[in-house]
Amino acid sequence: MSTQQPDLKLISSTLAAPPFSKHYSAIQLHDEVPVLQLMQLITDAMAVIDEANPQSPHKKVDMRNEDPEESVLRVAVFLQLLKWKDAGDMDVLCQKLMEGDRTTILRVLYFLLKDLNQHKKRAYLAPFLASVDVPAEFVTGDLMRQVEELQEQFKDTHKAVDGVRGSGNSAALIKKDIQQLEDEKQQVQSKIQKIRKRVEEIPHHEAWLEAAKNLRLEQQNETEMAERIKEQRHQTLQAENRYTAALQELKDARSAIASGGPDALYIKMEEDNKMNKYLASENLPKQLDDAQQHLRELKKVLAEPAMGMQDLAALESQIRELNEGIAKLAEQRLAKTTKGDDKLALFRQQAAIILRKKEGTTVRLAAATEEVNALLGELEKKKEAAAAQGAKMPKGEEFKRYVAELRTKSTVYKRKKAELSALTAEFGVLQRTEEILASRQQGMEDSLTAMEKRHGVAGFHIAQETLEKVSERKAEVDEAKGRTLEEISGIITKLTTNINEKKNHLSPVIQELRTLRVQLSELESQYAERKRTYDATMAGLDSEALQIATDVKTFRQDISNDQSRYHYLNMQIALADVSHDRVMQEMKSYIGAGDEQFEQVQRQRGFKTYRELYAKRIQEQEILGKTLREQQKEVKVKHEPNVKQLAMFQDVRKLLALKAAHNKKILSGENKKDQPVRQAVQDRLVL
Amino acid sequence: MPSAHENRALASAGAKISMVTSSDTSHPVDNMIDGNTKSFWMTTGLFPQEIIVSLPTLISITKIIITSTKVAHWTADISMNEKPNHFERLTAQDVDDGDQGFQLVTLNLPKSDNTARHIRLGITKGHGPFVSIHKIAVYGNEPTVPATGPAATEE
Repeated sequence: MSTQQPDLKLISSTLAAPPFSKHYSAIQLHDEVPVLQLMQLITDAMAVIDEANPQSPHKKVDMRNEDPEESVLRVAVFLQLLKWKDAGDMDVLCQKLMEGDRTTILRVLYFLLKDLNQHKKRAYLAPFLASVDVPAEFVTGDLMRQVEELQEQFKDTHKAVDGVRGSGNSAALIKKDIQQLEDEKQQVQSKIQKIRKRVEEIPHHEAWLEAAKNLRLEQQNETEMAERIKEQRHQTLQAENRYTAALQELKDARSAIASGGPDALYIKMEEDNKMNKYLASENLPKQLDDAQQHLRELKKVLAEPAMGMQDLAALESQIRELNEGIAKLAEQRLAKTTKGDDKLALFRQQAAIILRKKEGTTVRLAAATEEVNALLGELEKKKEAAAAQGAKMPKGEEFKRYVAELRTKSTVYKRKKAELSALTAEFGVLQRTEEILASRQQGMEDSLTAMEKRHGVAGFHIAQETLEKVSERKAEVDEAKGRTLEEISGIITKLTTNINEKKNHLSPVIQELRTLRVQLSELESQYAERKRTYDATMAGLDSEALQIATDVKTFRQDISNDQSRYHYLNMQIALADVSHDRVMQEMKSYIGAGDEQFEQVQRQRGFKTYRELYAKRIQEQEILGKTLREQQKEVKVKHEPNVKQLAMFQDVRKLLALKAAHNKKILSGENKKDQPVRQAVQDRLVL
Repeated sequence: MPSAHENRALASAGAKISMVTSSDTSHPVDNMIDGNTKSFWMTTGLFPQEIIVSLPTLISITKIIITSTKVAHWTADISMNEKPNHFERLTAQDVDDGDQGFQLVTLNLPKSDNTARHIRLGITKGHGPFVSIHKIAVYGNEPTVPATGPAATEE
């Protein structure tokens, strides 16, 4: 059976969605849901898949009513229809389904639910495309062919329908696109209208439009032209390359011809061929091998860890040993071989020699060809340079002159070379003499020391030498000293002359400076004096100013005082006028002038003269005083007894109050009989 | 020679204010005789207020024009002495309240010949509690008659 595990989650999610709308969780499917229900689910799935078929045997089948064999068969047939590859053997499947194997059922369910749409399609197509089972008697070639044709037609139309249906979704999109395009078209048209209106306002707008259109066309042309130019350039490049290659071939052919006829050509070609063969077969592979060997070695060296000096030394010793071994072995081999076949050895030697010669010649040949190529190249370059610069080859007169120049130059060169060689020879001779003299000196010194030793004055000549040297050096030092002294004196003289010069330069200026200094001192004294006077006057003026300021302040104060006094006095005058007026009025009233106005005023006031008024008032006051005095006398007389009476009345009041209180207490205290009531009975006379 | 149509009461012409009855430092007295109508002198309250203008020389006054505000009653006295004393009443005049503010008052001079050295202008009443005087212009000629002794009228 297959290894595909049913994805229970997928099953449960697909079942939860319409058209099934059955909610089982994955665990439920795995464990709980009974087999019968699973079979029912399978049937329902098949029904859904087979929706298009009105005669579906799966529709509305209740598994409980159906015979299990029948249902299994139906399921198997349908699965075959759907071409389930994992089904394996049909019989085994049927058996498993009969047994109610959960895993099988779940796998079936998974398969059904996985590609629901695909199954639908297949279920729809299957009955049409299945080969029709026609009994033999009705079979005619035409009929079968017709059937096949029809099936083919059906396939085509179905594909077309599917295509259309598939693109049917895009019908909406296409409609939207159409709509958008229509909108854009409208917008563009409106824009064109607006621009046209604006353009029409401009004078000669047709001419402008023409010009703009032309410009646009020309720009397009320009781009095309640019592209074409690029193409053409490319092509020309290629043609040039081909031309140069062809030229090269032509040259080669020409040179081949020039070297002498077809035979020579043929021979040359044969030689070339042989050489190339040899190169190809032997040289190049050998080089390849060498290179590869080298590469391998390098790789090995790289792979190996870094070596120290000791390792290197060890390796070197190894190499030496191996080389010695190799040499020994070669000798042995040589001895062996020479012992044996002499003839062969001779031939072998010859072969070896010839091989080596061949290798050498090939190497030389390669070098020579390289040189030739290089020189040819240079020649070409020079020819080209010459051709570019024009005919620079000296002809006739120029050539003779050129040759003469060359001759002179060569003679000069030869002379100088001879001189140089003479000098070098001389140099060599001198060196040699120096060496000889040095050696001789050494010998002389030794003999001299021996002599000194004999005479008992060892180290004499050395001391003499050192003395001489010291004196030499002393002389040198003295010289140097002398020189420096001279220098210094020279410098000193220079400096003194400079100083004198500058002094002379400066002396007139110094004179001026002196006079100016005198002036300066005078001016300073003047300035000091003036400054003193200025300070004094300033101080005086300051104090004056201060004085004046204070004066001004006092004056201002005086002014304001006087002003206020002025106003005060004015007011007083006004007041005095008023009182004066009053007096005049009084006087008038005494005189009794018949002034009607005045009498009106008098009536307003309520009295005629102030005198009257005041007299009346005085009278009133006197009367009042009299009455008050009488009152006073009365009061004085009656004061003492009144006070006594007042005291007595007060006492009476007190007593009465006490009595009232007591009576109240008795009245209210009748309930409390235990309260001792004390009655102080005493005879009193109450007045 | 100063002409008849020149304002004699200018500080530049030598005139000065000898006395005022109220002074304020922000509106000083010289604003009246600087010839500028924008600057003014103000009273600080109460009436009557007085100003004594001292001219540089004796002038026979032909006209007195005063620019002021809120003055109700002018009095003018003159004195011919060197010192501003012994004034004689020249004229008195009522003034209406100026609607636009300024009052341009030409004092009516009773006599034609008014030689004076000092002029005392008095403000006896005002339309408001304070009064401002912007410019005093005094026009006059050279005195035709030599200055006589002042009439001894006590003020």
